[in-house]
Amino acid sequence: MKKPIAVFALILALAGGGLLAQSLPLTEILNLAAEVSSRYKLEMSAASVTFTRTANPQTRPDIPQNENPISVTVKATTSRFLIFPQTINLRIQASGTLIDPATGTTIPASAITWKASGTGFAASGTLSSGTATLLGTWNASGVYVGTVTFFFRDDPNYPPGTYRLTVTLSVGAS
Amino acid sequence: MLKPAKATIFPAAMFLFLAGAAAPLFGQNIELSLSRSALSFPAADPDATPLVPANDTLTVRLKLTGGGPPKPWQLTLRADGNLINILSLTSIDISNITWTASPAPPFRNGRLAANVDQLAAEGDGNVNITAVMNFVFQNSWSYWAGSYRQSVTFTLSRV
Repeated sequence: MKKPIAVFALILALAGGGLLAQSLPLTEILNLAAEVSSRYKLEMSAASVTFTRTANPQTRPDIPQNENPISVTVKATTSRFLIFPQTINLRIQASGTLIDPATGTTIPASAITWKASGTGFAASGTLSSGTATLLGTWNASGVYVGTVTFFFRDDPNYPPGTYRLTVTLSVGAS
Repeated sequence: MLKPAKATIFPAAMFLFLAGAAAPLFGQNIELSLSRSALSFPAADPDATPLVPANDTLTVRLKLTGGGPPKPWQLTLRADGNLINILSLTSIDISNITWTASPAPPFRNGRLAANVDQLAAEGDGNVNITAVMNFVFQNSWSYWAGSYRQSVTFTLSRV
């Protein structure tokens, strides 16, 4: 008869201490959240290139740009849903034709071609003023560095002059 | 002459109960509290902001007094895994989050680790202190875009 009562008393005593006391270890929870937004950046080592015709072209030589190859850096954080990533695209498009403002003479943008190197960069291509041409494509966030060299396909029929053309490179996701 | 059982056991139980209840009031006084239950790191350009500070500082209240001879104690932080984005099923290593803390000592700077206790403060005796912790997130172009979450457990314990 005494034993159950004694046990009850002990439990009661322990409960009295336990209910009011905090004991080690103590824990607290901190919830962390980090936001990463889709973001794209394009960096180029030069903003212009020039070509110089060789004297009296008899054929249609591809004249490389006078300058060193352009370094192109694409930086992108893109999104992914489950296992399906968004594709990062680098595109290039001419604003029109090569034009000599002094005479109004034009040369098609397709006279300009390029060769590129670097992971994800298209090895070669031809400029177009009608559509944006793919210069590179990637399937994951990251920093991608390549080089691009432009060429001018000369033609003996092009009149002498100084021709200009603006080209736009753009990066985005699809 | 022996008294009946009820007359001796119940008063003893009551005494023990009250003694147990009163013990913490006169014994050890311990406390661990955080000023916030959540912190967030906003999106930022990795070039412009390579280290993203959290949206607020964290104040940690730590109290460990009384209770007899001083004993060594420590405060640890344990991330319950890496930062997770459930929509993309991608993660960012939690070690990209570091903290600075003051006053030092007893607090110290550190880096979170997945499922591993990281020492944030330690001491040998009583402590009654309010500390400030600043968390920063290492930004990178290599992360997938999205919202990442993880919880961190603060544990105050005797060594």
